[in-house]
Amino acid sequence: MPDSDLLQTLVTELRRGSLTLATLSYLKTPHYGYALLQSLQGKGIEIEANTLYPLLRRLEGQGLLTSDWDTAESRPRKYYTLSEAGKTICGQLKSEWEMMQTSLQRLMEEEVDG
Amino acid sequence: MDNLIDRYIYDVTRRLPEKEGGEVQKELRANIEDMLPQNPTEADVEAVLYQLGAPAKLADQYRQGPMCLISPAVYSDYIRALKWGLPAMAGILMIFGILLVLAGFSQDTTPVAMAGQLVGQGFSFAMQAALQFFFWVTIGFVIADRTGYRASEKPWQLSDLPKTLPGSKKRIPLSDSIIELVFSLLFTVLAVLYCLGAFPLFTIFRAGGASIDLVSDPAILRGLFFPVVVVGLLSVAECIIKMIYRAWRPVVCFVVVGSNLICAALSIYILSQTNLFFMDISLGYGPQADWIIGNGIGLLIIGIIAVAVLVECITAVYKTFVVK
Repeated sequence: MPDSDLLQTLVTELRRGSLTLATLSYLKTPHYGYALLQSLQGKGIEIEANTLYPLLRRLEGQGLLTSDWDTAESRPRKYYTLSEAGKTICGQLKSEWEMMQTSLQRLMEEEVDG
Repeated sequence: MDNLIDRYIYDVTRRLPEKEGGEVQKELRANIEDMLPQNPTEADVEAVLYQLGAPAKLADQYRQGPMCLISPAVYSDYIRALKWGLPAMAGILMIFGILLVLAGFSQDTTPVAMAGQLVGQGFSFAMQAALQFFFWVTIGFVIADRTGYRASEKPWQLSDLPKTLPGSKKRIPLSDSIIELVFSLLFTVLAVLYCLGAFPLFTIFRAGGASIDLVSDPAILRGLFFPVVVVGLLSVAECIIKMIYRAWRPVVCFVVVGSNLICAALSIYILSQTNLFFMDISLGYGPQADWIIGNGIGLLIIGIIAVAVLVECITAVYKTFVVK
């Protein structure tokens, strides 16, 4: 595997879990798919449409999101928002993330100092 | 233009289960329309569809169920079920097939024809049993996997580790024990049937009016029923303990040596019965001749058994206590 492909694979693996956390964090207020995609990309999160749309359905299937079709506008849109279970899980994931980040940060700083 | 979008959505949803397809179709259409500008051109549509990527890949992302027949979560249980069940079922049905042939046993059947039927029927039943078992176990695991069954996960312990390493001389291959078990069962069933008088006459040779038959005294045979059953049960117990431990350990050695000694004693008792077998030779003319198989042959067989048992016991003790 060329180095660039290997790097891409590793980056994808690294990102996978964080995309779930980013998505859950952003859905405290209802969003439809494309609006959420634009918001996340606007915040510097690198996520593609073909990753986000299936992810939303998966999280809904896991009971972390609820959805509602808004048919009042000219084009129907499906709005996703955090469920109660989703709120709890999102909070726990956030704490995990912070701990992991602190540990990694410390580890990498020690490496540099050492 | 719409046709492109419809074809794209269809290409994604046709790869999904029906119950998911409908909702994904609605959702995907809404998302595509959101991604397009007002009054989109064909180039806009193409750009959005390229952005969403290959339909097969997108469908893979949407699919929520497992993408394999047997998922990794139950794979090892599945393989274990096949490894144990397949030979066992094939063996049992092989014996059943052989018994069916024996049930239709006629005195005119020559040993060669009989052997041909036994092998043919036994093999055919074993193959059918193996295929049926494989099919139904696979179906069972697929259903269990999709309905959320998981084997109870006991906490792992050191005693769960394999007892021996590959290549160790202490190892008893599972396949050897299974083959031994199948043959033990087969011979026990045949011997029990013989004792019950299922085969009063066994033709060794028949041509024209001449014949050589092997016959036995029913009264003596009935008396041998109990020792034959004990020998059979001990052989089966020996195989089972070897299958459980799969290595030469003191308990295995004890069972093997004990079972061999008892089997040898009983076999010698059985063979020492006088007048156990007669050779009934008829040449088609004149009087028939009954030859009692003399003590000489009995002694020879007893000698062979004694040597075989001795070798097996020494091997068991050597592999258990000497081999490291």
